[in-house]
Amino acid sequence: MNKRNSRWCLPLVWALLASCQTTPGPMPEDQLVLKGEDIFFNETFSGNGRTCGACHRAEDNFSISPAFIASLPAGDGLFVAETNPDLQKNFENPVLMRKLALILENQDGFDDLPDDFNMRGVPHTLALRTSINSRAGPQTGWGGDGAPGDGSLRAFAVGAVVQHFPKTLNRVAGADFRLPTDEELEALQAFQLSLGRQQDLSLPLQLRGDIPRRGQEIFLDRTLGKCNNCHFNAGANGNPAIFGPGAGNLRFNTGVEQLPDQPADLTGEKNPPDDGFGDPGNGEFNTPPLVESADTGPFFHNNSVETIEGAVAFYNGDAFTQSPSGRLLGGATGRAINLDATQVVAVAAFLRVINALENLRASAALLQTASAYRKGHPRQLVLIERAGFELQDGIEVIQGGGLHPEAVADMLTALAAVEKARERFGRKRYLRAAATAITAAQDRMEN
Amino acid sequence: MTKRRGILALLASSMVSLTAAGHPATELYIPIGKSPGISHVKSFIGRIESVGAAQAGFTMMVNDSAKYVAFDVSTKIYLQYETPGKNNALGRYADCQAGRNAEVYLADDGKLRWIKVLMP
Repeated sequence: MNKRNSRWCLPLVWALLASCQTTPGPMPEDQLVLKGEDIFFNETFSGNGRTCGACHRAEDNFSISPAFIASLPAGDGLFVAETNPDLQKNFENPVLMRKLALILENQDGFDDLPDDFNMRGVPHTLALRTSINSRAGPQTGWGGDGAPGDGSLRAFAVGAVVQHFPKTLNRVAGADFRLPTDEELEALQAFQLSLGRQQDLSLPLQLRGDIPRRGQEIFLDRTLGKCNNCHFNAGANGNPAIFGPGAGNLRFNTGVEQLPDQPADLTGEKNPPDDGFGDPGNGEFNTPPLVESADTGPFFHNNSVETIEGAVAFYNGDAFTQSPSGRLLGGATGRAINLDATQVVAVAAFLRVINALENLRASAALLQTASAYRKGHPRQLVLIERAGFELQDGIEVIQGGGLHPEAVADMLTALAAVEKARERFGRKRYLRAAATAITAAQDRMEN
Repeated sequence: MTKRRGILALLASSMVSLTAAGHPATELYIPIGKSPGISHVKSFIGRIESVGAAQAGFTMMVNDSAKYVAFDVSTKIYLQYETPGKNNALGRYADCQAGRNAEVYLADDGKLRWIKVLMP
């Protein structure tokens, strides 16, 4: 190239290079939420190696189940009690953790570690925006009193670090862990509030399918299922027509602790009774949202029931009927809940369908956000992967109830497209195909 | 209001009678001045000036002004040690001695929820 040509060429090359530079583009997600997500999954707070995500797994609906635990390697942070000699006694019960996904909690104090503890499941962190507020203040954790300080979701992480993250049982701040900073607490709260539904449903839905539709009727019937009294719109809040406007999330003693043959007891492992809210406890536990229930079992605070059908049937049994809440409900409505097997299955079918519809909504939203990122952005893959988790859950939930086979086929099509979209080539096309199949599946289940 | 509705309303009111107090257990291990949403917002930190008899309460100096703190039987007392290697522990009223620094949390309902005492 002679000198004259190069004089013309250089600006052209620069112009070409400039046009190839990747511009940042708009960020489709809130920066505080993303910071919170990074802390949630990666920050150990100088403790035993666990993160919030050690128990609240994105792959497992921000909860954790025995099946998922069985898939983890021995060195996973969840199993610190098996690998850290300082945590081998009185920190976890590895048998109950592996068999039933139960985590040890000292909610009534740390002065008698061998005897004063409870084994609880890991509550999911979905739809927190709709499920923890109440007139009595925030209701966090299973008992409504899961957070130290002011009891808020923001404060929850501090208690979790003290309980679950220490290197030794001395639990000395600065030595066994560090406390989250104010900025970290803000970010963690923002992330957790961003997960799942941001608002409650408005029942009744125009459902397709005879059994789920009948299940919804029973659910809403004040003389039959009576479910909508405490799980208003299948959420976690009390029915305002009964409990007053803004009642929000309520606690009840429903007698779960009185269930016979609880799986944890059948193992022969030590499993002290759980007294719920307060110290000493009053036997109450707060109300979980039901929309997310079908894919987040086992059920109740002690993972005592494996299936959604079993969880519905619980309200027929003596444990509930003889409980303080069961007696009050029976007295107020004239009789106890007494559903026959077909009715139990219908209510469970309804819960399965609204769970799957939420899976589809979440999946579509995740894919839409992924599409808003510039091509090749690494965040796309994270979101696409999570959309796949949601679809997988939706398929399992619907298949598990023998419901809507055509919707299952659509969801499988969507899942296949999502799998393809994980490869960079043709991603946009596969994301569109997944979105189309998701809409088709939704239409199969709801008008 | 029908009888049934009335019973349910009673049930409703009973469900919200206890306020969410926060996980009292982990509070033991949270250092003075670090309780989320409480420290520097709803609590005050100062030096115990004088202690009343019969577990009635004590006077604290907070920012050069005296403040009387009435003790409650349900008040938790948490001890935090300056000596390295000594672990936080539950305390008693007798641990609230003049000259010691402390943080006290007076809840919205007026009850003294907890006291954190800095021990030698």
